[in-house]
Amino acid sequence: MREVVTVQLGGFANYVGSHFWNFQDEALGADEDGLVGLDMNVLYRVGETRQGIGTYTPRLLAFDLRGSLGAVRAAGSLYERSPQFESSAVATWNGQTVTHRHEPIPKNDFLKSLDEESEGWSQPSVSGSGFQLTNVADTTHSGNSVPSEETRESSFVQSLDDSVEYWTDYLKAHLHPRSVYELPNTFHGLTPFDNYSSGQGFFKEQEQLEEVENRLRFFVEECDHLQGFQFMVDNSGGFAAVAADFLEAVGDEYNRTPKLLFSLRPPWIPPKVSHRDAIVASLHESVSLARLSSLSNLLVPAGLQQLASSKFARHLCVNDSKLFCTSAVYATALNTITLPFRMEVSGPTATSQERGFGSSDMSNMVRLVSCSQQKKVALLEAAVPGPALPVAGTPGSFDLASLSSLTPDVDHSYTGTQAAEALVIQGARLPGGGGSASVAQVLECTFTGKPAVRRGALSLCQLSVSPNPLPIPVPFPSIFGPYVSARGDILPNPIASTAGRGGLDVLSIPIAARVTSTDSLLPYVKGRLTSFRKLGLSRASVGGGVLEDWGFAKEEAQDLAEGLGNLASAYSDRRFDSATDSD
Amino acid sequence: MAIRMVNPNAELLSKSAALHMNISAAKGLQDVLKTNLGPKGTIKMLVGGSGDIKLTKDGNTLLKEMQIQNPTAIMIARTAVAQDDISGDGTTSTVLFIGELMKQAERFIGEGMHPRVLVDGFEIAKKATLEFLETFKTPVAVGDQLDKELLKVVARTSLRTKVHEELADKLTEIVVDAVLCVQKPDEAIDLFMVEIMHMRHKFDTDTRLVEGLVLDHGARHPDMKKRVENCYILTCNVSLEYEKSEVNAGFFYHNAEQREKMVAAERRSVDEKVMKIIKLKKQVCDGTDKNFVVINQKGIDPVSLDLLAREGIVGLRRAKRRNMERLVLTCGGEAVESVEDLSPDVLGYAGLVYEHVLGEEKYTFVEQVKNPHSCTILITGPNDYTIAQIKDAIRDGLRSVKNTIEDESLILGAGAFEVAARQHLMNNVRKTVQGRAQLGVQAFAEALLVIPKTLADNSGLDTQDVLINLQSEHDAGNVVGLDQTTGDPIDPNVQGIFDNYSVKRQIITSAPVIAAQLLLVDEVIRAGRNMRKQ
Ligand SMILES: Nc1ncnc2c1ncn2[C@@H]1O[C@H](COP(=O)(O)OP(=O)(O)OP(=O)(O)O)[C@@H](O)[C@H]1O
Ligand SMILES: [Mg+2]
Repeated sequence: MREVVTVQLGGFANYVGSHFWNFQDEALGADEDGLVGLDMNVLYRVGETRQGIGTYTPRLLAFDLRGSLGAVRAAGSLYERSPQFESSAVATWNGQTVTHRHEPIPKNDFLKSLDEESEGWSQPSVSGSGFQLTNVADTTHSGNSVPSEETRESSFVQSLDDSVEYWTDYLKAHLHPRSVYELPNTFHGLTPFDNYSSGQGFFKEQEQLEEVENRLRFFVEECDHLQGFQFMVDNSGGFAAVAADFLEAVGDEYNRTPKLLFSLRPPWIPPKVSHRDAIVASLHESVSLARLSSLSNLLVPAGLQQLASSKFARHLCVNDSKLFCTSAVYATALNTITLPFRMEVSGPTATSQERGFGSSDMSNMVRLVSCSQQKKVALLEAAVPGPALPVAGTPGSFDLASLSSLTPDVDHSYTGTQAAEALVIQGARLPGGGGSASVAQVLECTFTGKPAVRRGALSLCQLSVSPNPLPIPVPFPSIFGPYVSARGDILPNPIASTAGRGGLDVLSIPIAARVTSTDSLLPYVKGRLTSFRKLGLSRASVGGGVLEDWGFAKEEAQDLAEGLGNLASAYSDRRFDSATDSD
Repeated sequence: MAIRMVNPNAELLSKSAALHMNISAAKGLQDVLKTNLGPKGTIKMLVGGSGDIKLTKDGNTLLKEMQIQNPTAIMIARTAVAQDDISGDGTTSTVLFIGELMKQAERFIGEGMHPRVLVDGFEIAKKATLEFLETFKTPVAVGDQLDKELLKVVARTSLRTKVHEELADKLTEIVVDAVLCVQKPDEAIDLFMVEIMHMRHKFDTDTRLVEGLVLDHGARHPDMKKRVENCYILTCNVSLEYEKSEVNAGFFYHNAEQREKMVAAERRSVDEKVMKIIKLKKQVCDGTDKNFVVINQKGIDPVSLDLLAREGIVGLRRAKRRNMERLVLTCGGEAVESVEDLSPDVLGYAGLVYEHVLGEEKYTFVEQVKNPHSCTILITGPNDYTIAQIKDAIRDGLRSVKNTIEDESLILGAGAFEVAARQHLMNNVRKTVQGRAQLGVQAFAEALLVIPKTLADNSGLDTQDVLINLQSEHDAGNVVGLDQTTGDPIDPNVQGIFDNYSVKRQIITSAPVIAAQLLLVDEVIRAGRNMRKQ
C-alpha cells in the first residue's frame, strides 16, 4: 500500500478539504459494492477507540486559526465524548473554581443529523470492529425512504448554501483527534491574518514545533510505504508562511518524500487599496511563490480572481462570495487530479483495466510534470462536468479544449519545447445521453501515454482513466446549472427547475483534470518575479521596508529574487506565433 | 514598532484620552488576573464555543487563551508572556505590577503631575530595587552536592500555586529528581532532556518519574517481542525503507527492464543496510542472553522489519528527533547516521524494554538503565484538560528548580520581598531623590505592595489590616511574609516559601518599562510620526 498523508493549512484549504473528504466518503460508500478500483487506505487509516470500536479516519493534519471550527471540537467526537464541565470535575485544585463560558455555537441541522446517526452506530448491536462510516447519501439516492424524512433532509441540506460559516459545518468525515491543530494565540475573525508576515514564526517556539512534528509523525509512523504528502495551502494570507515554515521545519526529516502542494485561494475583489496595501499584496504573492516552490516538489497554484465570470460559469453557477461554493469547484479538480495516487494498479490487459487505467505514484507524477524538478510550478485545468466522448472513437479526439485553467495569469500563446502533463479522466460519458463510457472507449479517443506532439513541441503525458464518475455528496452546494443532468450529462435543453442544483439533484458527474508544466505559466511566474524585483529589492522603497518588517534581510530578499528568477527561467518565453516563424 | 501596538487610532485621541485609555486597559487586565495569584488563588475553567475545555491557574496560559482586543492590553499581555518565556514564571505578578504602577500613576497625574516626572521616578526606583534585590537574596550553594531539600522547597512553593497540596508534593519529588537527573556540573540545564509524556486513562490519575525513556510508539511487526530484557540499544537515523527512486532523480526509465533493475538495486541497498545491523547484533548477542533493539528516526519498511524480526531484533521506526539525543543520554552509546558507523561501541544498554498498549496508542518503555542523564515524566489523567494543567504545573516546577541552580540564589516569598523593598524605597531611597521625581519613587514603592495585597485578598483577608501588620513587623527588624491562612506575619524562611531570583528580577525590570511606554503616550506617538517621515 502506498499511503498519502494530507496536510491542509488555512481556511480556504480546509473548505476545499471538507469537500474533498466528502467525496472520499462517497467513494467509501461505493467501495462497499466493490466497484471503484480505488484503494481508500491510501488516504485513510484504521484505528481503534479506547472502547475497542474500530475507526477509519483521514491521514490528515489540518491547520487553522482558533475558533475556526464553529460548533465542532478540534479533538472531534469519535474518540472522546464532549467533556463534562461541572466545576466539581476539577481534580487538581481544592480552592475556588471560576468558569468562563463562551456562548455555545449551535450545531446546524446537518451536523445534528450526523450526530444522531453516529449515536445509532455506537449501539452495541453493531459489531465492534465495524468502521463508522458516515454516509448520509444513500437513503436519498435510493429514493425509497419516507418522504417526510426526505423533505426534512432536503431542507437542511439546501439551507447550508446560505448558512455555512465554518468548514466543519458540512464535513462528514470524523477526524482523528490529532488531525486538527489550531494555531495558538490566534482567533478566527480577530487576529489579522491577511498577508505573509501574519503567519510567520509559529514554529520558532520549540513546544509548538514539537507538537506539530509529533502530530505529523503520528500519521507517518504507521505508514509502510509513504508515497508522499499532498498539501493544500490557503495562499490568500498568513497560512502561506505557516506552510513554508512547516515545510522547512519538517523538510530534513522527509527530504526524500515527494511533496505535492496546491496553493489555493478563494475569489477576491481587488480592493481599492492604498498604495502600501497593494504593495503588501503583491509582495505576499511573490514571497509565497518563492518560498513554497522551493520547499515542495511541485507547486500547483489554483485560485482565479473570479469563478462566476470564468469559463467554469458555463455549466456552474458559483457565488464568488461564498467559500462553500467556490471551494467545491477546486475540490472537484483536486479530487480528480490526485485520483491516480489511490487507483489500484492495473495490468496490461483490457479486462484488468476495466476498473481503471493509469494508477500512478505521487513521485512519478511529480517527477514527470516537473520535468525532473526543473519546472516546479504547474498549472491546473479542469472540465466540470467533463466533456462527453466524441461520437467516433478517433484517437486524439477527446475534447481537451473543454479544460479551462484554475490557475490565474496564464497565457496559452507561450509555447516552448518541453512540457509534461498528467491528465485524468474520470467517469466519462457517451454522447447524447448514451450512459457511461468504458475505460477502453476513453482510451480509444485519447492519446495513450506515448509522447505526443502538440503545437510542434514535445510533451510527455501521463494519462489516467477511471470509469467512476465523481459522486456528488450530500451536502454539496447548489452550483450545477440547469443543463447538467443527474448523471452529469450536458443536456440540450435546461431542466425545468431553476438554476443551482446540488447534491440532491445531481448524483454524479464526469470530470477531466490536468496538471501541466507548459510555458503558459510564464506570465504567472514572471509577473511575480518582476514585481518582486521592482518593489522588494530596493531598501529605500516602501516595499523594501515591508520586506524588512517581515524579517527578510537584504541577502534573503536577494535569494528569493534569485529563486524566482530560476523558476522563471525554466519556462520559455517564446510565443506561439513567433515559434512557428523561427522554427 | 511600538506605535502599531498601542492603537491604530492613537493619533486621533487626545493625549489625556489616550493616557486614560491605557490606564483603564491596564487596570482591566489586572482585574482579570488578580484572582489567579498565589496558593489561594482561583482556578479558571474556560469553556469554548464548541464545548472545548481549558483549565488553568497560570497567568501565562490564561493570557494566551483570552481574546484580547484592546491594543494596550495586548501589549501588556505580550510583556507578561515574554516574562514566562524568559524566566518560566511570574506572569501574573507582572500584569499586577504593571496595572498597579498605572493605578498609582493615575493618582498623581490627577493631581497635576507630568507623566515624564513620574517615569523618571520609576527609573530611579527600579534601579534601587534591583540593587536591593541583590542584598535581599538568599544565596544557594551549588557545589558538587546540591541541596536537594532546598530545591524541593522551591519547587513546592511554585507547584502549590498551581495544583492542590497533595498533588504538588508528589510532583515536587518528581521535578527535583528529574532536574537532578539531567543536570551535569558546569553545564546549562537542558530541560528538553526531561521528556513529558501523557496517557489518557479514564479512572487513573497519576504522575510518575520513569528513569529511562517512554516512546509514544511501538514495534510494527507482529513477531517482534513485546518485552525484552538485557538489551543492547541501537539509536540510529538511517532510512531502512525502500524508496522508489527519488523525485529529484534526473532520469526517466526507458523501458520496463531498466525500471526493474533500478527497483532491484534500490531494494538491495536497503537490505544491505539491514544486514549490517543484523551482523552487529550477531556479533554482540550470539552466545549470550542479550537482546537487541533498534530505535530509528527514519522509516523501516515491512521487508526490513521482517528481516529484523527473524533475527529476534525489536525495531521501532520514526522516533522523535529529540529522542535520538535523549536515548543516548539515557542508555549510552552514540546515535549513528550511517550503517558504516556501526560498531559495538555505539550501542547503549537498557535492562528492560517493553510495550504498553492503550487502544490504538502504543508506548515503549526503555527502562533499567545505568546512570541516565535523561528521563521521562509520565502523566496519567482522565481527560486532556486535566493532563494539560498538570503538564503546565510540571513545567513551572522544572523551571523553578533549574532557575535556582543557575541563579545560585533565591528570594523569600509570600510578599516578603515586596514589603521589604517598599520600606527600603520609602525610608532610604526617596529622600535621596531631588524634586518631584520623589513622588515617582513613592508610586513605585506603593505599587510593589500589590503582591502581598492580592495574596491577602485572595485568602479573603482584610488587606488594610494585613499590610499594617506586615509593615510594622518589618520595621521591627524582621523579614516577614504573609500567612495566607491566618493573615499573620510569618517568616517565609521558616515556612519554606521561596521564589526564583531571576523571576523577580525580570518582573522588576520589565514592568516599569511598559508602564513608562503607556504613560508617555504623546511621546510615543511623536516617535511614530517621525519614523514614518524617514
Ligand atoms: N505558601 C504561600 N504563602 C503565601 N504566598 C505564597 C505562597 N506560595 C507562593 N506565594 C506567593 O505567590 C506568588 C506567586 O503566585 P503565582 O505563581 O500564582 O503567580 P506568578 O508566579 O506571578 O504568575 P504565574 O501565573 O506565571 O505563575 C509569589 O509572590 C509567591 O511568593
Ligand atoms: Mg508562579
